[in-house]
Amino acid sequence: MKLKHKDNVKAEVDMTPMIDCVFLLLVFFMVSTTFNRQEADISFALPGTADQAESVDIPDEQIIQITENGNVFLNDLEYDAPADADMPELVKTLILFRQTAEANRVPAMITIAPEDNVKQQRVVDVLNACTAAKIANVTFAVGSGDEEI
Amino acid sequence: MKLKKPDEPEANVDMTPMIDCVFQLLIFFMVCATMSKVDLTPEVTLPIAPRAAIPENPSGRGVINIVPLGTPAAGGATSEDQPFLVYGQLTDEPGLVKVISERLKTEPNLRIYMRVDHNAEFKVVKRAIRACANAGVFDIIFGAFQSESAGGGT
Repeated sequence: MKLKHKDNVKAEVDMTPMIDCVFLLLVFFMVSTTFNRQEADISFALPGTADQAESVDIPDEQIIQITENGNVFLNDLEYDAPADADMPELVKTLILFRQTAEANRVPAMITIAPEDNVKQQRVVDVLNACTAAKIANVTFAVGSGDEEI
Repeated sequence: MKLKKPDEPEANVDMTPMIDCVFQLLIFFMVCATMSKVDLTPEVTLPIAPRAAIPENPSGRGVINIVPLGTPAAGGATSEDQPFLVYGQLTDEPGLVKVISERLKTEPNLRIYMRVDHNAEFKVVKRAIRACANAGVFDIIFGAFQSESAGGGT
Protein backbone atom coordinates (compact mmCIF):
# COMPACT_ATOMS: atom_id res chain seq x y z
CA MET A 1 0.00 0.00 0.00
CA LYS A 2 1.32 3.43 -0.87
CA LEU A 3 1.27 5.79 2.09
CA LYS A 4 0.44 9.42 1.49
CA HIS A 5 3.20 11.76 2.60
CA LYS A 6 2.10 14.34 5.10
CA ASP A 7 2.76 17.94 4.08
CA ASN A 8 5.88 19.17 5.82
CA VAL A 9 5.05 21.84 8.40
CA LYS A 10 6.97 25.04 7.67
CA ALA A 11 9.09 26.20 10.66
CA GLU A 12 8.43 29.92 10.62
CA VAL A 13 9.55 32.36 13.32
CA ASP A 14 7.08 35.11 14.04
CA MET A 15 9.07 38.33 13.80
CA THR A 16 6.25 40.67 14.82
CA PRO A 17 6.99 40.96 18.59
CA MET A 18 10.67 41.56 17.90
CA ILE A 19 9.93 44.29 15.40
CA ASP A 20 7.51 45.86 17.89
CA CYS A 21 10.23 45.91 20.55
CA VAL A 22 12.81 47.33 18.18
CA PHE A 23 10.43 50.10 17.12
CA LEU A 24 9.74 50.95 20.75
CA LEU A 25 13.47 51.15 21.50
CA LEU A 26 14.03 53.24 18.38
CA VAL A 27 11.34 55.72 19.34
CA PHE A 28 12.71 55.89 22.90
CA PHE A 29 16.26 56.71 21.78
CA MET A 30 15.04 59.16 19.12
CA VAL A 31 13.03 61.05 21.72
CA SER A 32 15.70 60.98 24.44
CA THR A 33 18.62 61.98 22.21
CA THR A 34 19.40 65.67 22.24
CA PHE A 35 21.77 67.01 19.64
CA ASN A 36 24.32 69.42 21.03
CA ARG A 37 26.44 71.79 19.02
CA GLN A 38 29.98 70.55 18.52
CA GLU A 39 32.28 72.18 21.05
CA ALA A 40 35.86 73.07 20.20
CA ASP A 41 39.01 73.65 22.25
CA ILE A 42 41.05 76.75 22.78
CA SER A 43 43.79 75.85 25.22
CA PHE A 44 46.47 77.52 27.31
CA ALA A 45 48.94 76.37 29.94
CA LEU A 46 49.73 77.82 33.31
CA PRO A 47 53.41 78.42 34.06
CA GLY A 48 55.25 76.55 36.79
CA THR A 49 55.66 73.06 35.33
CA ALA A 50 59.31 73.32 34.20
CA ASP A 51 61.70 70.84 35.77
CA GLN A 52 64.44 72.78 37.54
CA ALA A 53 67.13 70.28 36.54
CA GLU A 54 66.58 71.17 32.90
CA SER A 55 67.90 74.33 31.35
CA VAL A 56 65.05 76.60 30.38
CA ASP A 57 65.08 79.09 27.54
CA ILE A 58 63.98 82.46 28.77
CA PRO A 59 60.98 83.25 26.61
CA ASP A 60 60.30 86.46 24.78
CA GLU A 61 57.23 87.53 26.68
CA GLN A 62 54.61 90.11 25.81
CA ILE A 63 51.66 91.10 27.96
CA ILE A 64 48.25 91.78 26.43
CA GLN A 65 45.93 93.80 28.64
CA ILE A 66 42.17 93.78 28.21
CA THR A 67 40.12 96.55 29.79
CA GLU A 68 36.56 96.33 31.05
CA ASN A 69 35.25 97.95 27.84
CA GLY A 70 36.93 95.35 25.67
CA ASN A 71 39.89 97.50 24.57
CA VAL A 72 43.03 95.45 23.96
CA PHE A 73 46.49 96.87 24.67
CA LEU A 74 49.87 95.41 23.74
CA ASN A 75 52.87 97.46 24.90
CA ASP A 76 50.50 100.31 25.77
CA LEU A 77 49.27 100.48 22.19
CA GLU A 78 45.60 99.85 21.54
CA TYR A 79 44.71 97.30 18.89
CA ASP A 80 41.37 96.92 17.11
CA ALA A 81 37.96 98.22 18.17
CA PRO A 82 36.23 96.54 21.14
CA ALA A 83 33.53 95.22 18.80
CA ASP A 84 36.03 93.68 16.38
CA ALA A 85 36.16 89.98 17.21
CA ASP A 86 38.64 88.99 14.48
CA MET A 87 41.32 91.49 15.67
CA PRO A 88 43.30 91.69 12.41
CA GLU A 89 45.74 94.35 13.71
CA LEU A 90 46.59 92.29 16.79
CA VAL A 91 47.02 89.10 14.75
CA LYS A 92 49.39 90.90 12.36
CA THR A 93 51.50 92.23 15.25
CA LEU A 94 51.55 88.85 17.00
CA ILE A 95 52.74 87.12 13.81
CA LEU A 96 55.63 89.63 13.60
CA PHE A 97 56.38 89.02 17.28
CA ARG A 98 56.49 85.26 16.76
CA GLN A 99 58.72 85.57 13.70
CA THR A 100 61.13 87.80 15.65
CA ALA A 101 61.22 85.36 18.55
CA GLU A 102 61.86 82.46 16.18
CA ALA A 103 64.69 84.40 14.52
CA ASN A 104 66.21 84.89 17.99
CA ARG A 105 65.63 81.19 18.77
CA VAL A 106 63.58 81.88 21.88
CA PRO A 107 60.02 80.79 22.51
CA ALA A 108 57.34 83.44 21.97
CA MET A 109 55.10 83.77 24.99
CA ILE A 110 51.97 85.79 25.58
CA THR A 111 50.52 86.63 28.99
CA ILE A 112 46.94 87.84 28.94
CA ALA A 113 45.96 90.19 31.75
CA PRO A 114 42.23 90.91 31.62
CA GLU A 115 40.54 93.23 34.10
CA ASP A 116 38.07 91.65 36.52
CA ASN A 117 34.90 92.62 34.66
CA VAL A 118 36.01 91.60 31.18
CA LYS A 119 33.55 89.23 29.51
CA GLN A 120 34.74 85.75 28.57
CA GLN A 121 33.95 86.39 24.88
CA ARG A 122 36.62 89.13 24.74
CA VAL A 123 39.19 86.89 26.47
CA VAL A 124 38.46 84.15 23.94
CA ASP A 125 38.80 86.72 21.09
CA VAL A 126 42.36 87.41 22.24
CA LEU A 127 43.12 83.68 22.63
CA ASN A 128 41.73 83.20 19.13
CA ALA A 129 44.11 85.91 17.82
CA CYS A 130 47.05 84.12 19.53
CA THR A 131 46.01 80.85 17.86
CA ALA A 132 45.72 82.64 14.49
CA ALA A 133 49.28 83.92 14.98
CA LYS A 134 50.38 80.36 15.85
CA ILE A 135 51.57 81.29 19.32
CA ALA A 136 51.18 78.25 21.55
CA ASN A 137 52.65 79.58 24.82
CA VAL A 138 49.76 81.55 26.24
CA THR A 139 49.08 82.07 29.90
CA PHE A 140 47.10 84.34 32.20
CA ALA A 141 47.96 86.87 34.85
CA VAL A 142 45.49 86.13 37.62
CA GLY A 143 47.27 87.24 40.78
CA SER A 144 46.11 89.98 43.15
CA GLY A 145 48.48 92.47 41.53
CA ASP A 146 49.38 91.39 38.06
CA GLU A 147 51.61 88.56 39.08
CA GLU A 148 51.10 85.26 37.32
CA ILE A 149 50.18 82.20 39.26
CA MET B 1 -16.50 18.89 -15.57
CA LYS B 2 -15.05 20.47 -12.41
CA LEU B 3 -12.22 22.86 -13.10
CA LYS B 4 -9.33 23.01 -10.65
CA LYS B 5 -8.59 26.52 -9.43
CA PRO B 6 -4.97 27.52 -9.84
CA ASP B 7 -3.22 28.34 -6.51
CA GLU B 8 -3.28 32.07 -5.87
CA PRO B 9 0.24 33.45 -5.46
CA GLU B 10 0.84 34.75 -1.92
CA ALA B 11 1.45 38.50 -1.74
CA ASN B 12 4.38 38.55 0.68
CA VAL B 13 6.17 41.76 1.58
CA ASP B 14 9.89 41.28 2.23
CA MET B 15 10.51 42.85 5.62
CA THR B 16 14.27 42.28 5.70
CA PRO B 17 15.46 45.67 4.33
CA MET B 18 13.14 47.53 6.69
CA ILE B 19 14.38 45.60 9.73
CA ASP B 20 17.97 46.29 8.63
CA CYS B 21 17.28 50.02 8.45
CA VAL B 22 15.53 50.04 11.81
CA PHE B 23 18.47 48.25 13.43
CA GLN B 24 20.91 50.74 11.92
CA LEU B 25 18.85 53.64 13.29
CA LEU B 26 18.57 51.97 16.68
CA ILE B 27 22.32 51.49 16.97
CA PHE B 28 22.92 55.09 15.86
CA PHE B 29 20.66 56.56 18.52
CA MET B 30 22.00 54.21 21.21
CA VAL B 31 25.56 55.35 20.47
CA CYS B 32 24.49 59.02 20.47
CA ALA B 33 22.78 58.61 23.83
CA THR B 34 25.95 57.14 25.37
CA MET B 35 28.20 59.87 24.00
CA SER B 36 26.23 62.72 25.55
CA LYS B 37 26.98 61.61 29.12
CA VAL B 38 29.64 64.36 29.47
CA ASP B 39 28.87 67.07 31.99
CA LEU B 40 27.43 69.60 29.56
CA THR B 41 25.31 72.11 31.42
CA PRO B 42 22.82 73.49 28.90
CA GLU B 43 22.69 76.94 30.55
CA VAL B 44 26.20 77.71 29.29
CA THR B 45 26.41 79.58 25.98
CA LEU B 46 30.01 79.22 24.90
CA PRO B 47 31.89 82.08 23.25
CA ILE B 48 32.73 82.01 19.54
CA ALA B 49 36.31 81.27 18.47
CA PRO B 50 36.73 80.46 14.75
CA ARG B 51 40.28 79.19 15.36
CA ALA B 52 39.27 76.74 18.09
CA ALA B 53 40.06 73.12 17.27
CA ILE B 54 37.66 70.17 17.48
CA PRO B 55 39.33 67.68 19.87
CA GLU B 56 40.27 64.30 18.45
CA ASN B 57 40.25 62.61 21.84
CA PRO B 58 38.19 64.39 24.49
CA SER B 59 38.86 61.79 27.19
CA GLY B 60 40.77 62.43 30.42
CA ARG B 61 39.12 65.74 31.10
CA GLY B 62 37.50 67.23 34.15
CA VAL B 63 34.70 69.65 33.31
CA ILE B 64 34.01 72.88 35.18
CA ASN B 65 30.92 74.83 34.14
CA ILE B 66 30.83 78.57 34.81
CA VAL B 67 27.32 79.87 34.23
CA PRO B 68 26.01 83.43 34.69
CA LEU B 69 25.44 84.28 38.36
CA GLY B 70 21.91 83.48 39.51
CA THR B 71 21.43 80.42 37.31
CA PRO B 72 19.33 77.80 39.19
CA ALA B 73 21.18 74.61 40.11
CA ALA B 74 20.86 71.70 42.54
CA GLY B 75 20.59 73.20 46.03
CA GLY B 76 20.15 76.84 45.03
CA ALA B 77 21.54 79.14 42.38
CA THR B 78 25.01 80.18 41.32
CA SER B 79 26.31 83.11 43.34
CA GLU B 80 29.55 84.97 44.05
CA ASP B 81 30.24 82.43 46.81
CA GLN B 82 29.49 79.32 44.78
CA PRO B 83 29.84 80.17 41.08
CA PHE B 84 31.10 76.82 39.77
CA LEU B 85 29.03 73.84 38.60
CA VAL B 86 30.61 70.39 38.60
CA TYR B 87 28.21 67.59 37.60
CA GLY B 88 25.27 69.79 38.55
CA GLN B 89 26.60 70.54 42.03
CA LEU B 90 27.38 74.07 43.15
CA THR B 91 30.84 74.53 44.55
CA ASP B 92 33.25 77.23 45.66
CA GLU B 93 37.02 77.59 45.21
CA PRO B 94 38.15 75.23 48.04
CA GLY B 95 35.52 72.70 46.90
CA LEU B 96 36.88 72.89 43.37
CA VAL B 97 40.45 72.30 44.58
CA LYS B 98 39.22 69.25 46.50
CA VAL B 99 37.32 67.78 43.53
CA ILE B 100 40.26 68.32 41.14
CA SER B 101 42.81 66.93 43.62
CA GLU B 102 40.77 63.75 44.10
CA ARG B 103 40.34 63.25 40.35
CA LEU B 104 44.06 63.90 39.86
CA LYS B 105 44.88 60.89 42.05
CA THR B 106 43.21 58.52 39.58
CA GLU B 107 44.09 60.48 36.42
CA PRO B 108 47.59 61.98 36.63
CA ASN B 109 47.30 63.45 33.10
CA LEU B 110 44.08 65.26 33.92
CA ARG B 111 43.20 68.31 31.82
CA ILE B 112 40.57 70.78 32.90
CA TYR B 113 37.91 71.72 30.38
CA MET B 114 36.27 74.99 31.37
CA ARG B 115 32.87 75.64 29.84
CA VAL B 116 32.55 79.35 30.53
CA ASP B 117 29.51 81.33 29.47
CA HIS B 118 30.35 84.09 26.99
CA ASN B 119 28.96 86.70 29.37
CA ALA B 120 30.76 85.42 32.49
CA GLU B 121 33.21 87.88 34.01
CA PHE B 122 36.90 87.12 34.17
CA LYS B 123 37.05 87.51 37.96
CA VAL B 124 35.10 84.24 38.28
CA VAL B 125 37.22 82.47 35.65
CA LYS B 126 40.33 83.72 37.46
CA ARG B 127 39.22 81.97 40.64
CA ALA B 128 38.71 78.71 38.73
CA ILE B 129 42.17 79.01 37.12
CA ARG B 130 43.68 79.64 40.55
CA ALA B 131 41.90 76.57 41.95
CA CYS B 132 43.34 74.44 39.11
CA ALA B 133 46.84 75.73 39.85
CA ASN B 134 46.41 75.06 43.58
CA ALA B 135 45.25 71.51 42.82
CA GLY B 136 48.25 70.95 40.53
CA VAL B 137 46.62 71.02 37.09
CA PHE B 138 48.31 73.38 34.65
CA ASP B 139 46.73 72.26 31.41
CA ILE B 140 43.48 74.11 30.90
CA ILE B 141 41.13 74.31 27.94
CA PHE B 142 38.37 76.81 27.28
CA GLY B 143 35.33 75.51 25.44
CA ALA B 144 34.17 77.50 22.41
CA PHE B 145 31.97 77.23 19.35
CA GLN B 146 33.64 77.62 15.99
CA SER B 147 30.79 79.68 14.57
CA GLU B 148 27.46 81.19 15.53
CA SER B 149 25.42 78.57 13.72
CA ALA B 150 27.58 75.48 14.11
CA GLY B 151 25.26 72.52 14.25
CA GLY B 152 25.50 68.75 14.31
CA GLY B 153 27.62 66.62 16.59
CA THR B 154 26.38 65.00 19.74
